[in-house]
Amino acid sequence: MSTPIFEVLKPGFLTTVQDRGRFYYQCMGASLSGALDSFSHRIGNFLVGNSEDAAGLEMTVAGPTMRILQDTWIAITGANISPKKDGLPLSMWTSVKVEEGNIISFGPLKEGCRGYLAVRGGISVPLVMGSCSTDLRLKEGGKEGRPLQTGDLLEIEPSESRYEFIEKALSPEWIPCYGSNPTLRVIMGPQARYFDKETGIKTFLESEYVVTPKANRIGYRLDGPAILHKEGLEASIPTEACCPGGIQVPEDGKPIILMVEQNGGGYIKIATIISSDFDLIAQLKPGDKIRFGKISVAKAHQILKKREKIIQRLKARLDSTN
Amino acid sequence: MLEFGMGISPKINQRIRVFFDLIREANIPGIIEAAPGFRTLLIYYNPMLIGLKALKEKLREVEERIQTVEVKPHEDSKKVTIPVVYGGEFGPDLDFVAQFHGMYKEDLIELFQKPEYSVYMYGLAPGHPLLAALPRKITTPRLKTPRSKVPVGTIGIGNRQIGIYTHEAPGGLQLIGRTPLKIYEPKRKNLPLFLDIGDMVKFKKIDEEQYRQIAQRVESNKEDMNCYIEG
Repeated sequence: MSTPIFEVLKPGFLTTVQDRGRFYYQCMGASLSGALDSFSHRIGNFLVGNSEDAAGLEMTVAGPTMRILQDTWIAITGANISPKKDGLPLSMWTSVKVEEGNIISFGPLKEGCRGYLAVRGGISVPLVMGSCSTDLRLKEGGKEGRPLQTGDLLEIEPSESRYEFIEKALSPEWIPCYGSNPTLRVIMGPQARYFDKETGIKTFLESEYVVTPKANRIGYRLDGPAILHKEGLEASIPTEACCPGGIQVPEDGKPIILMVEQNGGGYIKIATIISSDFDLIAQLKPGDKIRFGKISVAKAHQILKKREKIIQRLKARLDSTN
Repeated sequence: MLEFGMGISPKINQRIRVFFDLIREANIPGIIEAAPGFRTLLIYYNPMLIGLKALKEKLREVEERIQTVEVKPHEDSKKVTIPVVYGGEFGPDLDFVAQFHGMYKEDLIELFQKPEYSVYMYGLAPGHPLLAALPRKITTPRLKTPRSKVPVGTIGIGNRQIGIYTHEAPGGLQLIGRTPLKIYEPKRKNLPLFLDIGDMVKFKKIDEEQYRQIAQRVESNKEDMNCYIEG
């Protein structure tokens, strides 16, 4: 039996239950979902001694206010939304002991866009197609397929060692800084050949694009110089499955970054953001500016391997402080 | 992303389905999942477990095996008739589509209802079927800017494709009508996913009164889905 751990007093702007995502069902038409910033989500879980698959909260721009219903450990990572315990500032990127009756709240957003809260044992919600993640587009998974609301009780699986645990912290050198004008590395394709070399590809790689207010877990619409496809070719193709980080360009030439709640589409895609840089998008908000830099598949693999090595090393270090 | 051809054809789609099955059977370490499209197969792989060269080799092996397998329509595919109310609030783009082709709405509907369409893939949402191919005479471009919300049951067209919305979701198709049937109903014991890839579909015009009656029966779970299946 799972037991209540948080009572939601205020839900924040958009707070959802997320794990790493809903794998293996895209062939049936499901979307991946899951925490947008996987680094923050995974490190949060490691800090409280969870596996990286455990579910936590994704908090967007303004965090929730929650009452702690039993003693446990939590960790807050990702965007800095000024976390507090009983009104006093709370350290991020470290595990924190909380006791029954404590109030966790958040203040102004200082950096980034999405914060993450991990709790020892992981949040327990009914699995939908093997995952705890909330899919807001389809209103499925997580807490009844919706963002948290006032009065919600969140539960965790009981574990014996919930309280006997020691404080762990991520070394400061690994805490990410979230810029508001990153260069995202891309692999060209799958439909780069549909675009004009000058007015399409060159414009895309040499211009700056602004994140518009239409930016959510489905997609980030960008504004900037129109990217043109080859004359005589259409911007739409027979529908196909797509992956997070794909950049589709509809007829109006304004690119849309496909996020985790999109699973297919029929607009041509000029390029795909490498998975190692996907976390950076999660921390962008309307008004932030993006540039794109082209790299090879081999280079992207190299970057991913290096990054995974670091994450595994951080995990080993955090585990050994047990 | 693997490409199997450029257009929409039942042959290409059958090849994709066989390739997809073979990949699942082969259980190649490092391949996480695959998702079929009209003419493509998206493959997710973990570069920590399989390099690009090894992946390409493995996929080429599957490609060789596909030559030895007979590619044909699925045996248990069914024939289905789906009732639709056209135009008005049910299909807000019907007027535009008719105008676009310089046709009367009635003629457009007749042309639309003539062929039998085949289910090619699931897209957008679990169980959301995508069908093809619309007659060339009524092929219509997708919306320039997708709508942010489309109601459940809506029938939309875009280029030569037809989609039936199973979830309220954003969408870029031209909306011409709506069916009272729930194509996707996870709580239904019989056929939770009403349409399978490979099924053949015809559309049949109903009026608003009939729509309300069927919708009521569907809502109270009294509608027998079998009566929409031929044979």
